[in-house]
Amino acid sequence: MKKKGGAKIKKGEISAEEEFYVASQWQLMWRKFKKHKLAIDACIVLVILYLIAIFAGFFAPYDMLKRTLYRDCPPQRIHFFDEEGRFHLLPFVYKMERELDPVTWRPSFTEDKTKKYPIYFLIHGSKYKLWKLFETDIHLFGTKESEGPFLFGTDKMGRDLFSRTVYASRISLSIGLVGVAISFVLGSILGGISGYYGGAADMIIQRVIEIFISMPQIPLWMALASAVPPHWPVIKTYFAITVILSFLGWTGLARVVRGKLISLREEDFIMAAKIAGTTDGRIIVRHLLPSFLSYLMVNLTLSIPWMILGETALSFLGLGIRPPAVSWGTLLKDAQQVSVIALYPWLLIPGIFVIITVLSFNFLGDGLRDAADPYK
Amino acid sequence: MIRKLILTGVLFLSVAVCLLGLIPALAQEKSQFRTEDYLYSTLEEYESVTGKKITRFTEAPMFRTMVAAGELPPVEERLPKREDILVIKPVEQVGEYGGMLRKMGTAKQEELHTLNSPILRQNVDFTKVMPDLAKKVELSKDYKTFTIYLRKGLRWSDGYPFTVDDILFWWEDEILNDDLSPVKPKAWMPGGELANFEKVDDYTLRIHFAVPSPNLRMKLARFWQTGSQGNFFDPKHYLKKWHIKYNPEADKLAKEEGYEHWWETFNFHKTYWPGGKDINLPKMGPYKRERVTTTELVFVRNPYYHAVDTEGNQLPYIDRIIEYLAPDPEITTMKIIAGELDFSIDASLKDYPLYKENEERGGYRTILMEDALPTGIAMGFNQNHPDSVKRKVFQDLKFRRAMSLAINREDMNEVVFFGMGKPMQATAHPSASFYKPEWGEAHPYLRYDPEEANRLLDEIGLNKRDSEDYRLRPDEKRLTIFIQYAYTGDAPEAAMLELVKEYWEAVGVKTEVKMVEYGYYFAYVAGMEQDINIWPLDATLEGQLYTWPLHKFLFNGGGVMVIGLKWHQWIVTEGETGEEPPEEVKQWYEWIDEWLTHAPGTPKYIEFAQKIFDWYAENLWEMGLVGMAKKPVILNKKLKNAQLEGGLLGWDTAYQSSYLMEQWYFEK
Amino acid sequence: MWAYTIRRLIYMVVVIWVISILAFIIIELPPGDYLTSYIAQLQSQGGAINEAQIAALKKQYGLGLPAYLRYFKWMQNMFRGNFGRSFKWNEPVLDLLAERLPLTVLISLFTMIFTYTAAIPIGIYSALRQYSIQDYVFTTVGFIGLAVPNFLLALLLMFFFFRYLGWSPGGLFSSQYQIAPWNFAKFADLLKHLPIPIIVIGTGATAGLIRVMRGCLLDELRKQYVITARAKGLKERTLLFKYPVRMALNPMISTIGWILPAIVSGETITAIVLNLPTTGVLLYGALMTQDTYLAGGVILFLTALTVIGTFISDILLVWIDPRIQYERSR
Repeated sequence: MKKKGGAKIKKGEISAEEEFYVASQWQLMWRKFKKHKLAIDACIVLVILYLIAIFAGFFAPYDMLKRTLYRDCPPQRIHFFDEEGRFHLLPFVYKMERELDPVTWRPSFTEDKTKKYPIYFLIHGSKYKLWKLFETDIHLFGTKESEGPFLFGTDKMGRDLFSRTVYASRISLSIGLVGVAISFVLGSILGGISGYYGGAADMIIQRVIEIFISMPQIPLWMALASAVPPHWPVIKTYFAITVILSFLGWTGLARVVRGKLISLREEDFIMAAKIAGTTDGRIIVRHLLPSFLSYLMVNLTLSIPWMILGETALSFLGLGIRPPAVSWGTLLKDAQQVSVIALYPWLLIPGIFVIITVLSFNFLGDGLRDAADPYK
Repeated sequence: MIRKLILTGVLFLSVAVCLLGLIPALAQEKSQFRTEDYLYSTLEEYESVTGKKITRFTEAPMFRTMVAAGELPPVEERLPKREDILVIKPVEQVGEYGGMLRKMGTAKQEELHTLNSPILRQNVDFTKVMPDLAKKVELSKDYKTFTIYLRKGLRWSDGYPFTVDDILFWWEDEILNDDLSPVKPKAWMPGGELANFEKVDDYTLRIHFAVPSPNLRMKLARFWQTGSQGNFFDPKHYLKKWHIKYNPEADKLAKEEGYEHWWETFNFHKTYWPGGKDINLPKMGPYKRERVTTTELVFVRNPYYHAVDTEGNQLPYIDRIIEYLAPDPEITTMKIIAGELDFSIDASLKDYPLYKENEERGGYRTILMEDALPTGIAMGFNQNHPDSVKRKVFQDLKFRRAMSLAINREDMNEVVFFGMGKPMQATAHPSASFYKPEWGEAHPYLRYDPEEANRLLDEIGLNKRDSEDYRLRPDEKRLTIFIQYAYTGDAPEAAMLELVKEYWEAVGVKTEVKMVEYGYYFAYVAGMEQDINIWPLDATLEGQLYTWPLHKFLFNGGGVMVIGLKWHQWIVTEGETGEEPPEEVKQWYEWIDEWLTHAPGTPKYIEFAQKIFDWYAENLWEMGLVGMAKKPVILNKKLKNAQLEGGLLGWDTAYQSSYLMEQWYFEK
Repeated sequence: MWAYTIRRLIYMVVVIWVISILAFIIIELPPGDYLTSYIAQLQSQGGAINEAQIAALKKQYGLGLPAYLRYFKWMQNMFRGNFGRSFKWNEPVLDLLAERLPLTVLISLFTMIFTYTAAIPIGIYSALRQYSIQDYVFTTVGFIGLAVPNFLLALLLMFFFFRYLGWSPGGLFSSQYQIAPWNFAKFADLLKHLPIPIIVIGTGATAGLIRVMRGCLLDELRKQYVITARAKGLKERTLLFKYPVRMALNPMISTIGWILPAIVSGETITAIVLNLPTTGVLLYGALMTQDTYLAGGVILFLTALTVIGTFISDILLVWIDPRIQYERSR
């Protein structure tokens, strides 16, 4: 425990109540936050997901476009015991035989128990570039013969769904962050001006905010996204989509910023800073913002899932990320078929990732919100 | 002795088993449905050919009540004059009246029922034409004069007589009218001169052409001719009040209806499709529109349809057709397995297992027809590319050959079509009378040979590679092919092109694939910026090829396959715009013009057709992939007289109308 | 009170006007115009279109004019009640909207009713049992509804209702009632088709509302008067509904302002999957084919719908709680 400019206070020297009064704002927040179990769990889940996204090439046994002969294969079973009951340290998969039903043409897979493929960890597989910088070929797991394991099954082109989901997380998880960053900048600037200066600027910006809030999101997103030229490369389209998503997302933040600024600008310490001659900008950034940073964080955290869902919606309509780029949205678009639900339901697994991510951000946001006002 | 017996027995048994195995195969391989076998041009012909007599005429119960109430004249007065009635022989048996056929309304299907019956009709593979509105069409020996004999007593769907006046109304008052047709249709100007229409009497028309035009008969049978492509006739009695020639107040009338000029409102009222909103517009054909909303279309039988079956029952049998409009194709799939559709050609191959598994519960059967597209999509490199380096590469025949060899069509067939398609180059449909296998399935560059592809690419100077092992152009920049395609719903473009990208990158040619909206595709292609054109290859049946301006189809292919727009412009404007094409291209245009002056079946016809397609196949202007795939079609178990198994289906066959839909019926 | 109302009315008009400009710009952005799409459509259905038709069409649709002229013409016409024509359907936009308006409003209304009816009790319950298992369960279930993408949920529900209940998939009516005249059976059939869209669209909004309700009620419950009332011995149930809940309801009314756009927005995608004839579906088609007037008309309409809804909720709020009026007019 540290106090500004002071001696360290050892635990037990003061009572818990005194601790409460003495602790810094952030420490209090952290304590409250820890109480919210769901939020902690959510945090851990998100960290894992983002790690996977960052090191996508490492976690994915296959390249996202790699085709195999195992088309429409359900998730493969991983075995530790072979059919004679012997235990293997390294888990393995059996070779799969693909057959089409003669009448219905439905593909079915049976395990060929004579051929085993052990799964190795930290195996050398196909080459990939980590963040387009380092070339390496080490994968977390895989089989030497590239015969699986297909943890989530495969799609109709024989591509490993697990690998594709992992690669897709790069776009889906980052779009939220980038979009929110843009919203943050826009919202803070506009909300800041509005709240701090008041008057005419406030009025105008308020109206603008009202206009944006009252617009139904999806129709507007659709309209904007359909204006994106389709021949743009993936990166450009990606940024265009994030801009479109944040186009409607900054208003919530702006309102919060404005509200807080209005209530805070009359505070004494701001008066003092003004008298001292601090510039307006410095006042906003150094004095005002930190006092409601917590609210900002909550708002941002809760905006991220909204953007992720927005991306999936746009991709579903064919207006977002387009193939061959993969995002959870495009994977779900491929799975948006009656045939899939009836015959190949494993293709819906990316949907679970979307749900988990959105839930996690929401719980995290909830936890932050509860913790944001530690003096309550 | 016994051993001999046993051996013979075994031999006998094996042969028997083999033969038995053949039987189901043969049974499935029903031969192509022959429309021509079921049509008799007139009742007179029917009676003289078969010796049977038709003694009385009957009609659907819903009309009987109307006749009794005095709302409709009796059936004998609604059909054409007795000897001129069209007779259709039921495919399986005489049917029963009644029922409503439910299907999904895609644009094509909607068009089908909204359009008029044509003057003549095509058979399934468009190798023959048969009478429809006309009972006979005669050609002069020099193919410059045509005489069309309409059925006497033919009537529009509102009961008004259909005569040559309706054709002349279209020709003189629409085509020749400059407000309605600022640009005259080239199809009616063979040899550069407009044709000459002459009325002989109310039911006989003579058309004179400046040059021999033997393809007129087939042109008149092009189903799509009678609507979106420009009618051949229009209901004069109904439309004339919006035409300034017959109604001097037409402009005022237009303003009352919310338009500026008379021709705007005229166009509104005369449009059958697309978006024809005037339900009262009379038409010819078995069905007419009853109800049009944004969620469904309902067609009801036409009381004045000019055909009967062999027992004198006025066709069609089915009372109504309802088409549901839905934005999402998965709705179609759901409706099919729920048994809510009686007929569907929008079923897709990928859902085949789903359909089969739900047949019992849904009360339908799933049959397989053959897609009429020789290749699902054709790919044509832009020969007039603005980038001179790329242009040189694309114009090199060895390049095109290499790119064709690099594609593994067998693999594509397996992955995309369940192995149910056929690797084919882009060419005429094999059913054409002049067809040669080496244009299609036996094309020398159809096989999968990546080594040869690599060798050829190296040979033409693309041998340098960059750090990622992609080939470099002669100017040291990476060679990238940008493929932009429009989603048409006719072929699985996305899947096929993803594979093409894979194959081409395997031989070192970087490829980018992007789907675009088809409005955008047109703008893009018209601007000649594309590297390569991608489109489903339809209009390849003989009748289509013969009646279509072919060169337009290749170098300025209706805006979809624009391989050499600048060359085309040069030839068409006689050198004023565009770029001069190589001599052989000019020669090719001349061959086509020449070909169209010869009648089908004549040696010159075959000779020129083969010259044309030999050159086309040899130069690989368009590459084919996989086509003629099996197509699942859903039919309600109770729907009879629909013999579609194994038949061709596509835009070219006018979808199911060449299968005589008017005699399908529901078994009660 | 009246001054406030009139002010809000003026704002509303301004908002709608600004949006009309935005809508028009957005629609004009993609290259090409309807004619190109239309020709494309004809091509894909059957080969070449003849030049005569193209020229006639150009004349007919006046597509040669510059953008700002087109915008002014559009606005001009709208004031006369003419919203332009849809190229694709070849009908006045107003007619198309009128055709789809009842259902869109109906679904939005029902969904809102469902949302509030579900959210309020759950929110109250959750607040009372804060941090308990029930609280977590409801929170999670609510969130799951929010987290599952609408289109996925719609397809799943449609499929399962069909597979296990035998209900006709999608659309508003089963096939036998689609063109039948209105009678009780048809109405009953309609009711059968409404639950899925309402559930799908509503779940997301419900989650948000539950949270708000819970939060508001919790705030109220901490206040002095509640403690006092408890001390005085008031029964918990009476205590609850006499004041805190009603106080907590006030901010809920203001939530209409963002619930309505969310519902209208969610309805768009869901309707595409479920094949419901709403305006959202019309918009999608219009955007795809650059049917300018139709797309513009629908966007304007949808926005107007939400703006008007917000306006009504604001007026209601002021009417119910005079304190707010005072704050606002400051």
